[in-house]
Amino acid sequence: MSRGARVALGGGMTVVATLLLGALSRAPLQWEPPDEAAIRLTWRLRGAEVESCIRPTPEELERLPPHMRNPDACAGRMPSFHLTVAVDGEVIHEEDVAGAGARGDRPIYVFRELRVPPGNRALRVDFVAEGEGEDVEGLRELRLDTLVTLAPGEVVLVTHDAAMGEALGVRTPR
Amino acid sequence: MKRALSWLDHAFDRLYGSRWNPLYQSGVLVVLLSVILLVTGLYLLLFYRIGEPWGSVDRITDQVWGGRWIRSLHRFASDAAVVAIAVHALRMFLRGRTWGGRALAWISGLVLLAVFLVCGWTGFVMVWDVHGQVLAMEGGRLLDALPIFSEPIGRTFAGEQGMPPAFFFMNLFLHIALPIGIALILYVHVSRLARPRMMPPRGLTWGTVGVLTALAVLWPVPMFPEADAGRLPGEVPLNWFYSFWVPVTRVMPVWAVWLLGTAVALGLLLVPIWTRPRREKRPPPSVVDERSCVGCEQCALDCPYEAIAMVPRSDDRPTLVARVDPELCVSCGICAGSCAPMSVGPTGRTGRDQLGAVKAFIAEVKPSADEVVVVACAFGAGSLGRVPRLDGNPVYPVSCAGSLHTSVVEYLVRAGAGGVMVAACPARDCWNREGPVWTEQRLFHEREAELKERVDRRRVRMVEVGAAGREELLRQVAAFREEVRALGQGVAETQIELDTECEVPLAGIAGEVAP
Repeated sequence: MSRGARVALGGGMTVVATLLLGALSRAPLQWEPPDEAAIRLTWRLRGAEVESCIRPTPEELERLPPHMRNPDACAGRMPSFHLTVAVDGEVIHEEDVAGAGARGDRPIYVFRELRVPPGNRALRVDFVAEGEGEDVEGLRELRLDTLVTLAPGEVVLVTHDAAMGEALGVRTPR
Repeated sequence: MKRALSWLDHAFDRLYGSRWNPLYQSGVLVVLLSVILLVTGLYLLLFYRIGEPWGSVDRITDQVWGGRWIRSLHRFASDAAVVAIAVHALRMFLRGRTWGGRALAWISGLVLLAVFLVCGWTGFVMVWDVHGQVLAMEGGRLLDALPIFSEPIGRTFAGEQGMPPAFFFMNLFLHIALPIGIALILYVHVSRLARPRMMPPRGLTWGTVGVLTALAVLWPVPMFPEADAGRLPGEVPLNWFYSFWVPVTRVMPVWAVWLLGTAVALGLLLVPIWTRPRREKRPPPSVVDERSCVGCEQCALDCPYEAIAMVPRSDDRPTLVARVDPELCVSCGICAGSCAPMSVGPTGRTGRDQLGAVKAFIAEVKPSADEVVVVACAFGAGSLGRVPRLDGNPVYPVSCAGSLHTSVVEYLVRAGAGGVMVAACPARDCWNREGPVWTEQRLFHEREAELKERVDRRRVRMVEVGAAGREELLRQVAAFREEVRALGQGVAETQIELDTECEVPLAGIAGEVAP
């Protein structure tokens, strides 16, 4: 191969490799189908708590070292909630949600994104505490029953804050 | 794979020359690209605002002088760095340069790749366009599976409260802090090398800068739509060098992603163990014959891996003596070629062993005055391997051209061979680092252990040919053979005395090797 041919071929290879680098740096990928919308459920719940207490007898307390004699040792945990999401009367998602953390005593976080067809949809969300007999303080349920209009690719947020009481709200993400 | 790599090496050698072959320079190219990233990154940092991530990058692209090009150069240099790391790692893996004394370089190289990928992730999220959004959301989804966060990370990107500037501050901090880690890891990566090369040759350096700059100017990266929590990402301009994993992981359950990721990471981290040959097949480390070591320090100077130290002798002689650390020695044998008294080298490959072997070779092959003996490096030299002859010329195989003792060349010439052609790997692609450099200096520039003056240099030639360059080698051998024939017949000695420069004469070296 002559020097000229080598230079031409080497130059050509360099150009091709460089263009490939430029192309792979921004090659488009269809991330979500264009004919879908989404309902994003996201809220944090703190306040409902199931408390279980251990009250040792005086004899049991006597056997403990002085610095460990707690007459009323209570541990709280969040109750489990059952989440149901129905669109146009059809349940599309169901799950049990427990408090976060290894002991389940951290706030409950709900964070789910559900795909739905665009259009006018009847949306119903129920978030209800489980365990009828348990000593639950605070909110026992959050509910939403509303109509939403979803454009293709649009996301609506179902969320909650303390001012909303037992209701969930729908709004546009920020 | 090995054959494909050799073929590619050779093809690139022909196109770019072995000195500029980017495949050989993949490691130092990473350093060069990191420097480009540092310089362009500092410029971009002047204009970036954590309170307005997308808007400030949009301003950099449209309003800041050179901003569009510098941002694009920053992006392309980071892309090229990942490619260079991957090529470098693949080369090391295919060549088995992953275990023993090289294990630290392998592990630190993997850590470097991981840090580059994380740094790239933070860089894309900084822009906060749709690409950054999908990376953030997928990253959040994976992190939320770990039981270490009190609150799901993914909620940050849900659009419940808007993106907090604290997130972008943390992201920017990581994007700046991680390169400091890259510098430290690079230091560890080359810490076992005596003379690490940190930059490519000047031509390749400016060529790389020029090509990436041209791409940045002619085809800059545009601004993509801003991240929008209220829209599902549609068409995402994915960067396939850093985000190649996202299309795979997003369709997998989180536990499967972590399982797969852990398996891949473990598999790569354990490469030094599962590629290590069995104990009986491992090449032995160098050893030192303390009786004949004169303490000249040449082996310690030449060792590419700093595996040899000079220590006080145990006897009453005033000189130091060489000591090999077997943990650091990779058995390249380069010390064997550096030692005039032939006191050091891997078992079976010391200068003395080489003389024994060449004696047997001459007795068997009897090279004639119109033949060229091709001393062929086992790793390069057109993969001659155990080929006995090349175009009618005898082939004398050596484990590494850098380990060749010049006495072998002297012996071949004085025994009557018309010429000796030492075929080494390309200098920038030496299997054992520095082999061709030292050999060339020993043969022609009086580096210890130099080829003695009495040897006719016209009958000695050195060429650098890669594993796939047999045709090239054939051409070089044929041309050299013609030159040698034109010199006429040399004198074939029957009793060859070699000067071993040994203070403690070892009985019978000359007698042992005489034909």
